Amino acid sequence: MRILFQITVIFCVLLGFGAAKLGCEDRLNQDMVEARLIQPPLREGTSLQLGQTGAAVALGGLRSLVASIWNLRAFLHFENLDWIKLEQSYDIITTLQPQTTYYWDTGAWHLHTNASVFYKENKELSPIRRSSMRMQYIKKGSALLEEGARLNPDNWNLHLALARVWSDHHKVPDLTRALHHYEDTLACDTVPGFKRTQLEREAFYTMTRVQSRKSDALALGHRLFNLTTKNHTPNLVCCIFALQNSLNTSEADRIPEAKLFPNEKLQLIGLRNYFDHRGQDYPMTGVRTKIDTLEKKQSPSKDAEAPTMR
Amino acid sequence: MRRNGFFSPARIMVIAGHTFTQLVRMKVFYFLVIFVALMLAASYFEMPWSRTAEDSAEQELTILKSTAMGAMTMFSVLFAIAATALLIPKDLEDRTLYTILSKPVPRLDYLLGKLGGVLLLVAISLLLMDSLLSVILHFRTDSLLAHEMAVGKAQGWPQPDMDARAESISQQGVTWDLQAGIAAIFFKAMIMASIALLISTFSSSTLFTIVIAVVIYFIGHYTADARNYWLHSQKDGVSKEVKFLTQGVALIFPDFQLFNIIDSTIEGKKIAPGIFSRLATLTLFYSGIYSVLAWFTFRKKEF
Amino acid sequence: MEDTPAVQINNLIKEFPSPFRKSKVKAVNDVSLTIMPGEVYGLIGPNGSGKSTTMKALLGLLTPTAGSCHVFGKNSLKTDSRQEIGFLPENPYFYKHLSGEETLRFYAKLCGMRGKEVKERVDEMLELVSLQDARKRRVGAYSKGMLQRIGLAQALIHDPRLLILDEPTAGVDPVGSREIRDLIVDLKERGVTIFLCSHLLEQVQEVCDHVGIIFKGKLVKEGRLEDLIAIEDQTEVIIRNASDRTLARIRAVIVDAKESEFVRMGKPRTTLERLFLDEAKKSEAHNTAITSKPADESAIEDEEKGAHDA
Repeated sequence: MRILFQITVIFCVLLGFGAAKLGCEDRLNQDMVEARLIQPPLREGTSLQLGQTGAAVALGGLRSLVASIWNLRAFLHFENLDWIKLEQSYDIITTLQPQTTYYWDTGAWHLHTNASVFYKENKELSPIRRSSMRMQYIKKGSALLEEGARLNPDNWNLHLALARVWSDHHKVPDLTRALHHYEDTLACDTVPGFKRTQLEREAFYTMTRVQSRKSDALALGHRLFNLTTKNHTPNLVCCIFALQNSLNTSEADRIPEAKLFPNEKLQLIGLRNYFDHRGQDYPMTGVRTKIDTLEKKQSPSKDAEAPTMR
Repeated sequence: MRRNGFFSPARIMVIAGHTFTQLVRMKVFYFLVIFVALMLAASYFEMPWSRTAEDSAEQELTILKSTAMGAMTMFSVLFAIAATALLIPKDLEDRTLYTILSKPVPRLDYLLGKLGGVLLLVAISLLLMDSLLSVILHFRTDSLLAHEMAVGKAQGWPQPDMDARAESISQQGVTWDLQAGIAAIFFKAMIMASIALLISTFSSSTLFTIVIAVVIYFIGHYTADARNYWLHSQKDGVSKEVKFLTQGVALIFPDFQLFNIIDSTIEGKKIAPGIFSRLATLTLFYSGIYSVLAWFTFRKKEF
Repeated sequence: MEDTPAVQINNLIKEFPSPFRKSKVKAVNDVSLTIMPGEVYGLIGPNGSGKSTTMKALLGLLTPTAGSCHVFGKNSLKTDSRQEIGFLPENPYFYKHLSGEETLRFYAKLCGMRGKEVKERVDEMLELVSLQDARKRRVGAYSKGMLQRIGLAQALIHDPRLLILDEPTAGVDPVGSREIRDLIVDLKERGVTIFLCSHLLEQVQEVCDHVGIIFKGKLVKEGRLEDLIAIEDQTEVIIRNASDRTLARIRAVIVDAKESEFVRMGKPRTTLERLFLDEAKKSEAHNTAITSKPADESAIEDEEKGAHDA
């Protein structure tokens, strides 16, 4: 009887206190979500809702610890070349810690680089099988990054990682797709200032490789060139040079060669290095010709080799 | 010699100090040794870095913090629950409770003293673990910073970029925000200890208290969803029972998701002082309410 | 001289709910007793008669169902009343991890004592119960007798006016038991009121001046010990070194007196306890004699004298 009375009183007090603190907690929750200190409550209808909520919530504050430990296991799977278990591990790890870039990035890297290369070079499989497995794992890696980017839309690192996957000529490049990811990267507010210029350059390089975007590429190239001398990288100036040739840009609209290249010696070195990328869809109009011209001019001093620049 | 007010801070401190000694002499600090070993192992373990990671230095620090603070959370919460759960049943079983309550000791002082002793131990343990983490983190941050600056210099980065990079790495190192995260771990433990105290005034079984407290801990992580569902959801086609249940959960259980700022501090995010102080105040209110309810049950308990 | 009774129990009733029967169990049924300051009161009764329940009600560990308990005029439910009480529970158990000294200091501080006062009082109590040698030893290593003694020390630490002892000599060896009883007598002489329960009726007889017999929750007999146990119409005379002739003459005198009746004459018996204590003392003295310098004759004489006195 007494116990019943006590329990009733306790419940009533808790309910009363609960009603009092409800508004307070809700406001604090919203403020924290706004400050990006905690994750927003998952929207209804999210397909991942059950999996994420169940696992993430159930482990309470232990998520970070469990994720760390699981990460160590994933490394062991990598060493054993057990790609299926590795993929499963990273599914769990990223469910536990969806806000940690490292896990998305590393998991994807194992898939789109390590696993895909493993299958590409696996002599035990037929060539068709090798090729398809390779592609499958590149796609898996990309899919993981995409999920990470979807859950962390402000995370420029993940968008950049995607852009690099699809622009990587060692993999199976899809330049239009890569360009799209570069645009997403640059659209993030969180890109640090000092990074932005470099990323714009990377985007430019990719754009030059897309046939249908050459004019856009040139416009971007001009903008970047005029923006800061930091952008006068050998690759950039060579791209502009080739694009201007390819699009037959008028003299008035061109950036003159003298401005692009400080001197002919450096121009030759730059163009030679640039020409080495010719298998990667970079514009090459007029590059070979220019190299020949410069070589003839500089033939007495051909033996003086400067260190190659990338 | 009449010093028997309803509430005597001095007497509470005596009981708290005694509880602290009791728990320490239970060799609980052996866990800290395991923690130290874990920490040192984690800090030296070389993680594989994806070649596409732009901020691998920051990520390495994040992983280090993540392991350490995860262990600290686990220790604090489990210890707070278990230690509090065993104190009163142990006193009852050993009859030492009679010798204490037969002295002029108000029951509130007794309860607060027990709670205080547990929290003192949790606080000191966290401080020790925090010191170790800070030292390791500091050295790691410095070495990573030096490495990145050297790379930057070799690549000819301009000073503002170098500064920005240094700032970004330092933000992942030992900061006041990280300490706020550790304080949040303490807050969680404090609330759980108060809940365990309340349950143990009803139940004389340590195991039962621990199990119920752990269940409440888990339910507390759903409170935010329940509240959100109640206050902000538009759905109408839901049964009355479900509605009632979610309302009940939102009102009765503490919202532990608010303490997920721990994860944010691991990520290196900044915590505004306003948010931190509100969280602290909320913790005090929770602990206060649970302590008062524990006293309400305990004051008329017969032995 | 105080008029306020040390203990005043008025119509105390304590009921406990019984899980199996509808009606409640009355552990204490309308008990009333008064103990004046300076008295030694013994409450005796079989197991389950309500002794402990009465004590607990006096200590505020239980709430009376009806009736009241007062200690020096203060209600036992108030914390203040316990300032005057020292309590030694049955089979006391103290915190194993503390030493004897630390235990006493803890209890002293609980009673509101501070600083130098604590130190002095702890030293005094340790001396009183002869535990100076074991002060630094952990209580977990104490024997039963030592636990009982440290229990007494903590009960007395704050110089209470009322001492409540629940089975103070239960399970203690005869030597220890003797010491405790001597201590009780000593405290009585200092004016401390003592309320004790015990099964060991001979010991109660020895130290108490008031006795109450409780049986199934009811106080069936109560009063001064001398009044209760004196066999009213008989007289005992004890003589030393009486010759047979003297004894015969005494017998004749009694027979001549018409109103009196000769009942019995013979050798009184010592108790087993006295015999044990004598032997213990002798054995201790003998051991001391062996380990010290060659024994004096006077030392041996002292021993024999001691044996006669006991």
